Amino acid sequence: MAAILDSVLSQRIDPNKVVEWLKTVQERDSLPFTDRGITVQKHEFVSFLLNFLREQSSPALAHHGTPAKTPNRPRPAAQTGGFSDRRASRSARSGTASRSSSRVQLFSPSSSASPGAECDAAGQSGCLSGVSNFSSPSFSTSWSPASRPPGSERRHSQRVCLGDFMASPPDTQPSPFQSQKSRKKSMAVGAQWRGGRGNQHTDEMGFGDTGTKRPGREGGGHGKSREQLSPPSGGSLNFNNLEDFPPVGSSPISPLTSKPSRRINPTPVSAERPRSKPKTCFTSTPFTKPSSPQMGAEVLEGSMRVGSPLSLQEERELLKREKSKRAQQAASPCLSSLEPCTPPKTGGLGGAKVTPELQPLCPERSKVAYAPELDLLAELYCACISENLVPNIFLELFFVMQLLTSLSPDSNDAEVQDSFSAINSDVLERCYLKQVHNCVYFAVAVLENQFELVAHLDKGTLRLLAENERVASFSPTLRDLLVQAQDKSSAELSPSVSTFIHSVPFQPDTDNRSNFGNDRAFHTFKKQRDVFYEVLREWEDFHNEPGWSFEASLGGRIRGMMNQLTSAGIHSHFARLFLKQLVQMCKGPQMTGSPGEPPDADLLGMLGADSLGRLKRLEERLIQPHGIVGPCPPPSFPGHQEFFRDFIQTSSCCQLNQHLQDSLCQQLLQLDEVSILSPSASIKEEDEDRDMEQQDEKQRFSSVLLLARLLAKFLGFISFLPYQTSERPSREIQDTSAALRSKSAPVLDVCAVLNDSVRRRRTILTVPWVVEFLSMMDFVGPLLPCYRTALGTLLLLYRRMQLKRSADVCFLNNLLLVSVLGWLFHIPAIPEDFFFTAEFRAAVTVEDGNPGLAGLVRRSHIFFSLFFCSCSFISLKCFAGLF
Amino acid sequence: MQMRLSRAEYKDIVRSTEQLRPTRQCMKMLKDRFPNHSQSTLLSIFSLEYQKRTKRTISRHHAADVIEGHYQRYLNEAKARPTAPVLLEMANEVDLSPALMARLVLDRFLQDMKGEMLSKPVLNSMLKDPSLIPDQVLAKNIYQCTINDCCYGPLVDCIKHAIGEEHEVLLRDKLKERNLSFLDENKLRTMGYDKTPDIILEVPIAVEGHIVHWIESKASFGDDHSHRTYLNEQFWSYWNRFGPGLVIYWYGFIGELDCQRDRGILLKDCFPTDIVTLCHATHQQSPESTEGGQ
Repeated sequence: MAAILDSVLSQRIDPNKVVEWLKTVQERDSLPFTDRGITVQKHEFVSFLLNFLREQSSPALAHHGTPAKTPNRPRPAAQTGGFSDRRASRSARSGTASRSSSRVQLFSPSSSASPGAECDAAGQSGCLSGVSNFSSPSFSTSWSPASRPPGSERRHSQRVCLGDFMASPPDTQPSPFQSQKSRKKSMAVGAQWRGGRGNQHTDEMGFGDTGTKRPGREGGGHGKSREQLSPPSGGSLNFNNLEDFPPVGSSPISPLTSKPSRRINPTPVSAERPRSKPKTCFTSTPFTKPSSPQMGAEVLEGSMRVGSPLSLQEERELLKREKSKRAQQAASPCLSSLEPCTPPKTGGLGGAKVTPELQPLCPERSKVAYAPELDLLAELYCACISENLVPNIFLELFFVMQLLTSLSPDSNDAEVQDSFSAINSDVLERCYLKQVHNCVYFAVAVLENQFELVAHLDKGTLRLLAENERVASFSPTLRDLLVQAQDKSSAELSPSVSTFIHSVPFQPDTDNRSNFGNDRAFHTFKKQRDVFYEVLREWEDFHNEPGWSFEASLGGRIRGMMNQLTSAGIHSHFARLFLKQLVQMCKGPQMTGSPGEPPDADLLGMLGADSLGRLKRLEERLIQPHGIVGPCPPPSFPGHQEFFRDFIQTSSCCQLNQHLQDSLCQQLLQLDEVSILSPSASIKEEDEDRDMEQQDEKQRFSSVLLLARLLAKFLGFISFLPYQTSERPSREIQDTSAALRSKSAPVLDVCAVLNDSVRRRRTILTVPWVVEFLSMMDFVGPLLPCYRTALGTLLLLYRRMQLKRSADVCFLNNLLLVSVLGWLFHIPAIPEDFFFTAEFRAAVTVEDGNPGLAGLVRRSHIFFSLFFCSCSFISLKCFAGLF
Repeated sequence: MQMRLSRAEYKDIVRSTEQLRPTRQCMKMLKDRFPNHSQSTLLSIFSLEYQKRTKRTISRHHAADVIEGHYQRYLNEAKARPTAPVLLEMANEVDLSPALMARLVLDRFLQDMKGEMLSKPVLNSMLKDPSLIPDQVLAKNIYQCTINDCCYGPLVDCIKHAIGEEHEVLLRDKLKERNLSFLDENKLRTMGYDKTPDIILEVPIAVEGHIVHWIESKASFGDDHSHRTYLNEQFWSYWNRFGPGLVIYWYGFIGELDCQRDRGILLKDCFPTDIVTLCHATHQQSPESTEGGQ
């Protein structure tokens, strides 16, 4: 794979050929030309390219507290001797020894002894972490991609999704108290945080090392293990991250970028605003002029002095270690610099990256080096995105946005780097994405290329992009396109959902005395219904209060209810009530966030409310950091769903669960059969009635889709509940467990449902809910034959669903499927190497002959609002933090 | 007439009732003192307060020796002054509700006669119809107690029941007047509902911007204690089954208790005038309502 890239970059191969190759539908095709006579598999090349780009950009992205978005799956096994045993074990397991060895070969040319090789070695650990999912449990489960140190394990991440973008930082701090404190402090004294983070880095790095003692760039110690399920967001929501929390009032970065000022200026953004006028809003309130460097410097210097001695000490130690260990990449400001703290008055929100070494550097088009190579890389990269060869297109988009908003590493390092690369003539070892100029150039090129996709982002994100000075200066054309897209965009964020709870109406048909065996059962249920709502109301009133615990407050009452139900034998009645209430409360569009709080209003508000309110909210966000979600948040139970999840968990009543499962299965299969009329069939007659009908149809479809997803999530939750573990079990346990569980029938025959849906071209309805169901899987779930096959089918669908090839009508349909599938592939339970594994490809090729695949989705059922309801993770929320 | 009272106003009234006895004279005093409030509201508040007071003190009258004391004193005084309302005077003197005093003494009297405890129904029927009492003097005294008690006793129960019915009829009439179709309690019971408000609207309405599915009529004043009890035993149960609804306290309520509107329990002191029905809405603002409907 390296060979290909090498050849392309050194212009020995026509890049168009490679692009063509990437575009060929035949999965197995090997590249027709290889100067070394090696066959290259497409997925191997893709993962190599993705890793290459991550690796390249790691210095520039170091300050992005959000992990360097290393989305891609473990790169194919690399090849150092130390690993061979691991590899062997894996090969033995999967029976693909030949494949791994071919990888080795492919890879070796570039992994000789150069810094590039060093990179590869790092990558290797990444791929091994994928591998080690099977062989070494501690590896994968404790891995927290979020805080991966910039240079080293980023490839591990493959798993990125979860932890990476999670917002709650509990893991970072030693104790809850401290965390509170430090969080608070972080507003006033940024340094405190740095300390915590530094520590974490060491831990994380230790992890990377578990398998390989590489003196190179990874830190020494072994970290403590962390649970993957509760994502370690320490790193993810990084208050130190300038991008996430730019210091208010200080503008350490390029004065030209609108970045710092965005938080400061009351840019009145609101969903209703017909069009935003970026320029004018900046004038509406006084703010620290971004273009006063002296002032910024003062702020920086002043802030430098503040900071807890302890954390400084730690920092220094860390710094030393880091510096010595990373010959090549000492640049990471996030590790190597003291935490400056912006004074509280100026906002002091983190100010993380405002490191003294970090010179504000304004990206300039004229300073772009290697432009032709960057164009080539962008072209290849875009081909991968367009062809759905990447596991998650939105993760890539996120990465690109990171590049766009990246900061330059300090100049010293840059020089070192440059001199280094000067010595090295190997094209793969040049630093293409080291300098901010290049990063922005590359990002803009990709955004231009992928404009169709970008144009489908929500308004808020489009606006952020359109107003970005870097975009404007690098490509006015793109800026104009973005402005236009923003005006056209109907992708409003979903309206706020009413907080009002509605009860499930009493229905004489199902609820009166004649439906019960005896008076006692009837009267018991009468009481239980009232207790249920009492519990629900209490939850609503108190669950957001600090210190309130579901178990402590409601556990006794709920289990009391269960006892009553059991003694009266009326679980089925209660299950019906429970599910109806669930649907009643959670069917509507739910975004992550607490119920009632219009999800993104908060963020939009922060972009442009009056300064006082904005500061207040920023403060709240610091204290309750669930603002930033990446494009791959872990599965969650937002809003009222949390109540139902906790209820099920707390009641731990097997009878109830069984009744719920029965009922959920039945309802889901019914919903899946719902007739989907084709709105496009009626498109000829443009009269209003038709239009109304079409709207109705879309509404109906949307409600069916959302409902099915909700039910499927709970069905998945209940079915996999008995097997959930906080960490991935050891390989042996997984195998035993899989063998045992494969004997009994799964609750739902997902494969049959999927195959049927593909055959009948109803994937637009079925896939989203099946994804929800599968997202609840425990760690062993994906190993069971039934789910394994289902995942294989989904992977095939994903690969087949290139957006570029979809007709306009189907674009959003496909975008939805691609998004939810991409999200699924990053769920913690899905093995890390899933996306790039041949095993699944084998399963997939069986399906290949299916004629139905050609036109999976013929009709457009998805519209913007539904898309954003369904993929709430792709919204302003996930990108805004970068700007 | 003002019926939705602030808590301060309510407390003011309650304070004035503290020393009052459940007699017509006392009611008159109360009415003169608060001319701005309806007699029914004042009586209802007093009645609720007096019941609370009685609950606190009744135990001291239930001790066997106290009953015996009351009884012997009655026998002596009735013997001395056969035409005087001795039992009523005694009740006022010991600060016990006349009707309750009558019940205690009658119960004791019957024990003497039959030598054993009588069934409650017999006792109750004698209280309702004193002519059934074998002792004429006692019968007269019991009767005087009953008619001079505005808080307890069969007469008051009867009045309360009648008023309750009356207001339910009133409510149904108003609904019919407005052409709102509904199911009443009796109908609901035959359909097998486990909890039944007075009215369930077949098509919900909006009152002051709040959706109303059911209406409960209370011919009394809504104070803290009674409202809390009603909430737990009735209103929330209705909400749990039928969604948001409306409670009418015909004799008023403490304004501050109307705090669950957003949660689906609306309080009113009269039949609402601001009613929006579905057909209204579609007539007046059809574009919006169709959008909302979706």
